[in-house]
Amino acid sequence: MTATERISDPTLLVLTSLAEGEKHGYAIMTDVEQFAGVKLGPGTLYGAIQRLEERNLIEPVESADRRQPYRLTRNGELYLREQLNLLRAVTRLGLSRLEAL
Amino acid sequence: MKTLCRIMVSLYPPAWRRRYQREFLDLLGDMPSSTYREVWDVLRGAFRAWADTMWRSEYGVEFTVALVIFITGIVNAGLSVTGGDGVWRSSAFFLVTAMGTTLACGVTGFLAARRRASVLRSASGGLMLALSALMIPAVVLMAVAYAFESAAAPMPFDQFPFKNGPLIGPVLLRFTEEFKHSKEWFAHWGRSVGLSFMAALIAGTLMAWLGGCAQLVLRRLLGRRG
Repeated sequence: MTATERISDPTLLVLTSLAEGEKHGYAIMTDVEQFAGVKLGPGTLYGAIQRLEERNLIEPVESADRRQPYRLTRNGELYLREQLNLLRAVTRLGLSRLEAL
Repeated sequence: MKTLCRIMVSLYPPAWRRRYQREFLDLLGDMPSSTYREVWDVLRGAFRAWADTMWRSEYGVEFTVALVIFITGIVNAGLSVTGGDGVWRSSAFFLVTAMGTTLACGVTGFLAARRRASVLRSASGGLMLALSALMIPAVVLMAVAYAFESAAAPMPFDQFPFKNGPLIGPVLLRFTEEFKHSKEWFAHWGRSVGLSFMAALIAGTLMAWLGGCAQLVLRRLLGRRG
């Protein structure tokens, strides 16, 4: 997976939420709403979880609780870092261009 | 709304349900409430899960064939219904759209056969999907349209039973008039829509087969030369 590969917003938001530590679905949902102001619906959230799990970016964690927590894999950490660095570069460039106006 | 969301989980593909249903229902249980927005989100998620499953499956390309046919059928039927009696309902328009569908399906069939050893298997997958997507509604639409048309002859008022009754006669007459109107509408448009689907289905499936055969012949010819 390369840094230039496009990632859709819900998956990036889920990865960012899991960067804090393992979380189950509802905890991800509320965390995303708090830090990004985006209310992920249950279908969107589980669509993102499915895609991320298939790409080996997150994995389920064994738990005694009825709720299923997930955590970032090593690949997920690398991928999120790449994506956020790319976003940071784009943000810096965009802001510098705006200041030059 | 939560109950509706729970029911709609059954719309997801079986493989998805085996893996995620339990935790998805737990998530719905954790949510304080749900609105129409969540219901729509679950519905959209189910559609996307099916599309992903189909696209990634062995029959991914055939799914595209069925989708091309389906969209063409919808567009053709929509234009037929809304286009009045002008060019959109003419045989020339049907011919042009049928040609467009066949061309698109031919290309898709050609591409599908590239990944397979057997053109028969490839095309049968496309046929199966196209049949399930289109054949049943098309046949039902046409059957109902023809049935309505054959029964659409108006009944003269003087032959109408109970015409002299105090209330039953006028009520029944009104009901019959409205029913007759709806029958005529259905007989007219239902057949047109059904025909559009059928034309797209038959032309598209045939061309997908031909595209697959062309791929097989081409591969054999190139194989001999190699």
